[in-house]
Amino acid sequence: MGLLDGTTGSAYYNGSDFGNYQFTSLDDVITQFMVAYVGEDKIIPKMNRIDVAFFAQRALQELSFDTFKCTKAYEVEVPATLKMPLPQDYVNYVKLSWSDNSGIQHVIYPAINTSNPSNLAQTTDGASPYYTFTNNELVLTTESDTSTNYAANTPVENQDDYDDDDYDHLIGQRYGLDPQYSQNNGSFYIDDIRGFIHFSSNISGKTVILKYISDSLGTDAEMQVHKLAEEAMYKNIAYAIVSTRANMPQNIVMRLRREAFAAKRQAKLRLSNIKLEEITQVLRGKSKHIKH
Amino acid sequence: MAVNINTVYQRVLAIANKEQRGYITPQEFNILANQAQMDIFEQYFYDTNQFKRVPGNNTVDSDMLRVLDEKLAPFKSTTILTDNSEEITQSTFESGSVDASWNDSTGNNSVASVVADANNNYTPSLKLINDGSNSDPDVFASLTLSTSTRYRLTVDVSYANDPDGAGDWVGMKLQARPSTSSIDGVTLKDLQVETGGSYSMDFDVLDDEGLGSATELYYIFVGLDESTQDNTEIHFSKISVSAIDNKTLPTDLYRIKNVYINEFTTGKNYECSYLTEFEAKMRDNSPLTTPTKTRPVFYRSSATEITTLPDVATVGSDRVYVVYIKKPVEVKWGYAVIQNEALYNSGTSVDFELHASEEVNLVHRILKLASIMMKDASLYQTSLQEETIDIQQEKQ
Repeated sequence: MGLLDGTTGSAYYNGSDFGNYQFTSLDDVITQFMVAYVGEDKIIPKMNRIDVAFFAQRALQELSFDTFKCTKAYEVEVPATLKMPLPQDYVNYVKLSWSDNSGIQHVIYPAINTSNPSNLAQTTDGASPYYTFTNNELVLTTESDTSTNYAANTPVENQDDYDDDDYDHLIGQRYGLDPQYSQNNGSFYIDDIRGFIHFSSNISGKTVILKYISDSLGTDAEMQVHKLAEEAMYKNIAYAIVSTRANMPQNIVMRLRREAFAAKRQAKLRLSNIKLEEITQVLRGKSKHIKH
Repeated sequence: MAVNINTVYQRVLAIANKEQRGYITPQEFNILANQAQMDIFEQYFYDTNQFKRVPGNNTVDSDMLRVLDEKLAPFKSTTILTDNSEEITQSTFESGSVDASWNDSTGNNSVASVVADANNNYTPSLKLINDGSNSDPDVFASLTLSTSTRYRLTVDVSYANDPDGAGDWVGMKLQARPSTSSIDGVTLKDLQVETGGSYSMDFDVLDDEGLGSATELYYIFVGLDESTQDNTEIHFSKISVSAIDNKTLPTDLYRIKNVYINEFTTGKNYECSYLTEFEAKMRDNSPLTTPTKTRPVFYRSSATEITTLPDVATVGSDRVYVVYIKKPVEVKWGYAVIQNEALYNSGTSVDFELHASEEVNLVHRILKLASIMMKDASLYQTSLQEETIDIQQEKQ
């Protein structure tokens, strides 16, 4: 019996669940792992399904971080507050950009020299106890002056139109450009404690796209593995289990470690989606000048 | 497949009585036979453990794990978890008559009666026959049931016959409905049944009048689903209604093999991992190890109950099943005294449920026990030697 599980072509095209064949659900991976790897005469003689599920979820997390394709993206219009909350299942960002009227995305770079620190309410005279307290707890204001000022002003880096070799605001004072600031797409920084992304004021009203990674464990529907990485899942689960068990022969542990590493690398290579025709086309332009 | 108790008794007697060692009375034999049966039965689990550690072979008939599995097959059973209490006043019919808890609605067919004859292997059973012009003769009981509980109606059919032969079959009808309505809250099941079959139907209790009642008066119908007057006959040896509580283990349980949750909407079964209570609760506190419906766990909460995590609601479609090894039935060499002699009576005897290959083992073990009773050292040595040779052959 095939994996299409009796779904006819007509039922598929009349439905709405397209392209799902490329994925295997995490529950299927766990069940298949239990069948193939756990039991007498197998590499793991005894293991509870729920414990295998733990290692499977950990493997899924790890592969989500650096092997799976990033498929999660949000598009929002930056409000006057110049900030957006982090997505519910956010782990880290891949890229932030704003899209213009042509739908072309312009990458926004992080402003590494700003942040939103906790703003302590000080005593007016600056003397002991230095800070004000309510119920013996330090009083903090929600937005720091640093953050407010960042939002209120356009950073000087973004005020240059980069139309010539001169830096408009420092003519005669400094030469050369720092490439990370040599653009006027805008900037952002992430306040991880409060869970917000703050944008520079020149992005206000623009459509911003946040491409981010999760750990694939947010919802049941997300808990699936691309078939190109299925083997990497099995090997990672097996290695994780064997390496945490007592009295396991070290040669088995090392063998599985190497297999897990190789399978992960192979999965990453497969998911990199390198196609001969496409890479050929890219390489044809190899002799062009690099302008940026 | 079972081992005939009379065969074993006669062999034991033949060997024990040789050279006038002594006679084993039926009462003594019955005690020793049950002891020997349990001895052999219990050993299966230790043997399974032992043979799981050796490679075995890829045959069906001589791989030891498969041989043991075959020996345990008669004891395997699967059941939904009910509270083992009986809602129906008269669920079996040993009394020989139908009591007032059953209402007769057979119409102009013969009234429901209790019979114990060769057809139903002399098991007292409630008989219904379609010999009148009214269709679907049945009986019904009135039960006050809880609206917050799901129930299971189970019937054991000891005899089913349609005189029309193979071209026709015996149709049975099970129905549960509120006393106030024959439309709302009706659960109905029509089945094709055979002699010796056990059939069931699960139903929820509807608060028919919507008054938030904790209980509701329900009618439980059991009968024939036959419209043609053709003398179709059905005997029920047991009719029971029990509350499904998803936790109480069956009374004949010996060892649990596994527990699974059946998801009604998809039909999928999710096996529960067996953990201790501490392990289960520890896992329940961690997001990556929390038991879910697709990865459930269970633990023994008492001698008679299990707890599943996540909890399976007692009202709803999902159900907990237990696959288990049941206790062997108590064997009995039944007899009738005729002219001062105990003569074998198959009607009152209960055979060994053990696999036919255990017949020789049973004889040896009973002899060994009998020799202790008779203080016969030579018989003890001989039977012990035979038993040891058997074990060596099986386990080398």
